[in-house]
Amino acid sequence: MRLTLRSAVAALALSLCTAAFAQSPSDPQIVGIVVAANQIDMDYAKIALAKSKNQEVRDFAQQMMTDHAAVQKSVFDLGAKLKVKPAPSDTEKSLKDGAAKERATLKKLKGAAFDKAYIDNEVGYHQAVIDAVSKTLIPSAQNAELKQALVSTAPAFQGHLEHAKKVQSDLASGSSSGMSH
Amino acid sequence: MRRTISMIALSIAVMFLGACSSKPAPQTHTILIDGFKFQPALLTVNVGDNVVFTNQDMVPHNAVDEGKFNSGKLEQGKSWTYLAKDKGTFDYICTYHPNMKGHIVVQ
Repeated sequence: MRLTLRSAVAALALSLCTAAFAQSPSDPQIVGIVVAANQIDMDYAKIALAKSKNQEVRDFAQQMMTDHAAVQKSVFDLGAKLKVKPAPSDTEKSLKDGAAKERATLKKLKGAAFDKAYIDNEVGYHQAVIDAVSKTLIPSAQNAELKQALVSTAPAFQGHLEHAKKVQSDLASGSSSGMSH
Repeated sequence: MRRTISMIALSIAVMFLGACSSKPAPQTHTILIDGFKFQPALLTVNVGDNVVFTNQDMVPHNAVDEGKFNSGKLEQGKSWTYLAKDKGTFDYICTYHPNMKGHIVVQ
C-alpha cells in the first residue's frame, strides 16, 4: 500500500511537470489548473474530515478547506476582473484523473492507515503543486496581474507543505494529538 | 571663546541627560503577516508600546501566545493591536498554521 501511495504521488508530480512542460499553458488554462488544484485539495480534505478521528489531522484538513476556499475565491475574483475564464488543458485533466484515483485509494482506508496516507499525499501533492506553480505556471503567465497573483499564492502552498510535514512527523513519532480509533 | 564652547557643551549634556531620564513616549510597531510569515519575526519593544499585527495574506491567520495574548481570527486586510504591558519574551504562533512563528521581546 505504501508503495502504491508513493507511486501515485510520484505519478502526480510527474504528470504535473511533464504535461505542463510539454506546452506552455495559456492564461485561461493556468486559471483552470489553479482552480482544479484548489478543488482537488478541498475534496481530499472533505474525505479526511469524514473519516479521520485524529484531531491534528482533522485540524489540518479543516485548514485546507478554509485556505483553499479563500485562494479559490481570489482566483475567481481575479478571473472575473481580467475576463479570463478557466479553460481545460492536459495538465488539468491529468490532475483530475490522478486525484480521482487517489480519492478511491483513500476511501478504502481507515484509522491510522488513512491518516498516514492522507498526510503523505498532502506532502507530495503540495510539493508537486509548488513545483508546477514556480517552474511552469509563473513563467508561462502572460498577464502581469495573473503572474503576480501566482507569486502571491506560492507562499500559501509552501506554508501548507511545511504544515503537512509537521503533521507527518508527529504521526510518525506518535506525538500527534488525538488518536484514530 | 573657550568658556562659550564649554557652556554649549554643558547645555547639550544637560539636555541629553534630561532626555534620558524621562520616560520615552510609547511607540507603535507593525508586524505584517505576509506570505505565511510574521515580518519581522523578532521584534523588540518597550513596555507601553503598541504592536499592530496586519494580515496581508488572502487566508486568515492569527497571533497567539497561549495564555498571554490572542489576536483572534484576522481575515485579509484586518489588524489587531497588542499592548506590551509586561516585560518578557513572548513566543507566538499562528494556530491555523503552526509553522508560522514569531517572537516579541518587551524590555
